[in-house]
Amino acid sequence: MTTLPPPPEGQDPFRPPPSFLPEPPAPPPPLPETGPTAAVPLPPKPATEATPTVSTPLSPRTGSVYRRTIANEETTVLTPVTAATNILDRIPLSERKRWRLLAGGSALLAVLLLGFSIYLLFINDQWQTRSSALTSEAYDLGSRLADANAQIVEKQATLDLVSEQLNTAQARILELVDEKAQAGDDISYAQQQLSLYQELSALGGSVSLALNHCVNEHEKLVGYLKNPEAWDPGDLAAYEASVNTLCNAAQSANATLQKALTE
Amino acid sequence: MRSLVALLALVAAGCSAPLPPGPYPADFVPSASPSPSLDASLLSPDGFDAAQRMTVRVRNVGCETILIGTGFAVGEHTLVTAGHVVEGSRRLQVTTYDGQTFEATATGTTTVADLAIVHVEESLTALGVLAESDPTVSDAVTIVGYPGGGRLTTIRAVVITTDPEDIDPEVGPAFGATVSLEAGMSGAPVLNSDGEVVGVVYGASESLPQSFFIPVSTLRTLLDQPPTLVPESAVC
Repeated sequence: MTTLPPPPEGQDPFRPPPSFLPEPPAPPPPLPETGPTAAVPLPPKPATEATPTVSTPLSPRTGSVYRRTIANEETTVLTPVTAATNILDRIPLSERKRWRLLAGGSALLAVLLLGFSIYLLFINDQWQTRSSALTSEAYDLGSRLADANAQIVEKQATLDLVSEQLNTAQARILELVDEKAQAGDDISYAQQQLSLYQELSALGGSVSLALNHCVNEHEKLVGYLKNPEAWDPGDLAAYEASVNTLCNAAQSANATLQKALTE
Repeated sequence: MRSLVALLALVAAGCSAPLPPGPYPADFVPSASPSPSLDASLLSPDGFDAAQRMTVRVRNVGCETILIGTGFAVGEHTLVTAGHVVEGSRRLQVTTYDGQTFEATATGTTTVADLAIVHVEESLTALGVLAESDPTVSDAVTIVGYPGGGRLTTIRAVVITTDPEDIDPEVGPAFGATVSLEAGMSGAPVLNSDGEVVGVVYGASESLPQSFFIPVSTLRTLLDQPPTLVPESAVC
């Protein structure tokens, strides 16, 4: 949007500026009175070659000189109309060509539109056929999908059951392994105790043997001491010492056995 | 001029006119349907996880006592447990998670930490993977073992300290976890969130709900120096 310059001061703003309007021709000068027979002189015919010019005062806005020429005037050439003239003949030739061109273009456009409409009908028919086939296929796939979903649900339920069974089996395996390990511990403990008892038994046998040996040797020593003159005193003393050593060892072993038995 | 414009519009409409449907597809189901691709090597053969399968129950039959502990496989014939679990043993028996029992052929302990290496003749299938680095404070760990010599149990815990001075300087490098463990858990593997071994349990606090484990870095040092192990066999 452009902004017009403000009108000159004292001028109606709604009136176009005078520079946009051509200046009226200057009034002719008053004719001299030559008498009743004097013919009125015609205004001089302007020459075709020479372009008469009318000087106008300077425009108050632009300051340029507006020159009025014949070329600037609009002229209308009227064709004489007779009674025999057709109505079409009254239309200018250029206008008739335009109408014919417009009619031909419209006809061509109508033909093209008709062909395009037939093409669209053909395409529409093909797409409707395809739509029907796809709809049928979609229903078939939907049915298969529903079956697959049902199978998945069934498999999932089976999987859950198997998982639960696996967890149960694992727990049972751990229990059995634990029971086996505990049994192994018990067996090891029993073997350990058996080994201990066997050692104690062997120790008891040794103690018993040593004590019996001690008793036997003591009996022999008592027999020797009943007739001491028959023996060398030194040998008798040595024998008595060895018997005491043997019996002390037997008593010590017996004490160890008793201690082991009480533990 | 108007006819020409209309003709051009019609030609333009013809260019964008609907086309007939293409050939009908033979099948709407993709030929290469997605199928689950599972790595069979990662699947458990019997539903037990790797931590359970690599953990063993250790029975130490001594001269007059029987000790129960936990161990785990680190090699086809090699087990790791706590040193005091195998101490004074005349016979050492190893029981797997599924009840198989093996006799240990040799044991060795180290003075660096309360750790022991046990060798068996039979082949162990589930092996533990040692982590590259020790755990840090607030790491979540999992401990698998036989508390009280009973069932195989999995326990969750969190590392609370990595300073040996806070635990027992005499034991050497040791970390602490927020869980109280029963006897029988000694030698149990401490696993990180990836299932890798980050430690070996060797004890627990009697007054606080804390347990102690030897970090994997110490275990690696022990495993890298097998000649330092001396086979032991108690004589009654």
